[in-house]
Amino acid sequence: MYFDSWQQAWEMAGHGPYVWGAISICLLLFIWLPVRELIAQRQLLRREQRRQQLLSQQASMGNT
Amino acid sequence: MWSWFHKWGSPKWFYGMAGRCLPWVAVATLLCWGIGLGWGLLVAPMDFRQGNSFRIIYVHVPVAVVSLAGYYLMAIAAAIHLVWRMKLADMALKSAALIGAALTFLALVTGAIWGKPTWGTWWVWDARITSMLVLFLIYMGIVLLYEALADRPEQASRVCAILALVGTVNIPIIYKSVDWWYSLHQPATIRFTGAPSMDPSMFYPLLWCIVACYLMYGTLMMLYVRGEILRREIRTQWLQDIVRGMR
Amino acid sequence: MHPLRKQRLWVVVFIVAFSSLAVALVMMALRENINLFYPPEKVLAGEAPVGKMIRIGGMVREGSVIREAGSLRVRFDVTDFKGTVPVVYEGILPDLFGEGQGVVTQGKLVDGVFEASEVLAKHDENYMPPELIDAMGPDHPGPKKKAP
Repeated sequence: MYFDSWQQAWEMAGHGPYVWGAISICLLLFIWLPVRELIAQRQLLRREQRRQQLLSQQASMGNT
Repeated sequence: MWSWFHKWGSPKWFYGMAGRCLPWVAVATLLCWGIGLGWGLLVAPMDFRQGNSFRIIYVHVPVAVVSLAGYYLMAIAAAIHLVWRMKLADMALKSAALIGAALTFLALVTGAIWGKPTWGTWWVWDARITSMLVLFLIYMGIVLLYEALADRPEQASRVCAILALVGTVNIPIIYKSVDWWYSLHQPATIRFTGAPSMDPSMFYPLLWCIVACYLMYGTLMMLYVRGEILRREIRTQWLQDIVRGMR
Repeated sequence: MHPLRKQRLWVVVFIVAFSSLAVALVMMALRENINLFYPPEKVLAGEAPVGKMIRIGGMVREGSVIREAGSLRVRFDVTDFKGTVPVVYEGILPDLFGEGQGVVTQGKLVDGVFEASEVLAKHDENYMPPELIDAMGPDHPGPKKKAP
C-alpha cells in the first residue's frame, strides 16, 4: 500500500473527500443501474407467471 | 455474413446468448474494477503536482472513454434500425442511451470534483466540458423521447434513431476539442501513437479500470436489452414457454 | 440490397452528412469564441478586446510572482514565450498555482495590465510519482513541499 495507514488512505492529505466522493458517486450508480433493472425484470416475470396460473386455473374450472 | 446478421436480429437468440454470458461478464467486471480501483487508489503513487486528487482519474477517464465509445455503438444501432427496421437494434439504441447518459453524467460529475482541487473551479465553459454536456443532453434527449412517445413506439424509435445519428457530429468535436481550441482541459494522456504521458506505476491500474468499464458496459447492455425483449415480447410463445418453465 | 432499404440507407447517410456540414459551418463562424482564453501573444497583438471581461492563459513566468505583504494581492506575469502580460490579482490562488505552471485567468485588460478577478490553474497531461521526480535531480520541476 502506498499509504502508511488506513487513516491516511482515507484522508489522502486533504484530498480524501474529493477522491472518495467521486468514487462513491460512481459506485452508487454502478450498483443502482443493474439492480433497478433486475428488480423490474423479476417483477415482470412474476406478474406473467401469476397471469399464466390464473389462465390455467380458469381453463381447468371450465373443463369441470 | 447474412446468416450472422439475421441471428443478431433475433431477440430469442440474443435473449438466450446474453443470459448465458451475463454471469461470466459480470464476474469479470467486478474482478477488473476491484483490481483497478484497489491498485489505483491504494497502491499507485500520488502525482508529483496534483497529489492524491489525481486518483479521480481512475473513474473519470474510464467512464468518459466508454461514454464516447458507447455512442458509436448507439449510432450504429440507430443506422441499422433505420435501414433494416431491426427490432433488436432499436432495443440496443434505447438501452445504450440510458447507460450512456449515466456514464456521461458520471464523467461530468467526477470531472467537476476533480476540477475543484486542481483548477480551482467546479465548472468552466471550455470546449471539452461543454461538448461533453451536449453529449449528455443528446443521451438524455433520446431517453426522454422514448418515455414521451411510449404509446407510439414505432415513431419513438425512428425519431430517436435520427437524433442519435445527428448527434454523431458531436463525437469528433469532443475528441479534438482540446487540440482545436485553447481550453482548460489538458490534452489526452493516452494516445494511439506513442507512449502514454504517465508513469507505468500509475498507468497499469488505469488500464484495468478502462477494461473494467468496457466490461461493465457489456454487462449492462446485455442486461438492459434482455429487459427490453422481456417488456416488448413477453406475450410471444417462446417467452411464455420460458415463464412456464420457471415454476 | 432491397431498393427500399437502399433508399433508407441513403437517408441515413444524408442525415449524418447534412448535420456534420451544418455543425462545421457553425463552428467555423464561432471559431474564435469557442476558445476559452487568449494567449499573451494575441493580447499584445491587440486581438483581445480592451476593458471587457476576457480570459488569458499561459505560463506563470519564473521569478515573476510577487506577493504583497499583509494582503492577498499578488502580481505575476503570464507568458507564452512569444509575449508576456502582467497580471494583478487579489484573492485565494488554487493549490496548483506556481511559477512555471500553466494558468488561465479571467479579468479585464486596463492600460496593459490585466486585472484578474479569477485565477485557475491549468495542468498538463503528464503524471509522475514524486519519488521519480526526486530521482531525476534538482533541475526537474519537482513537487512543491507543502506544509501539511
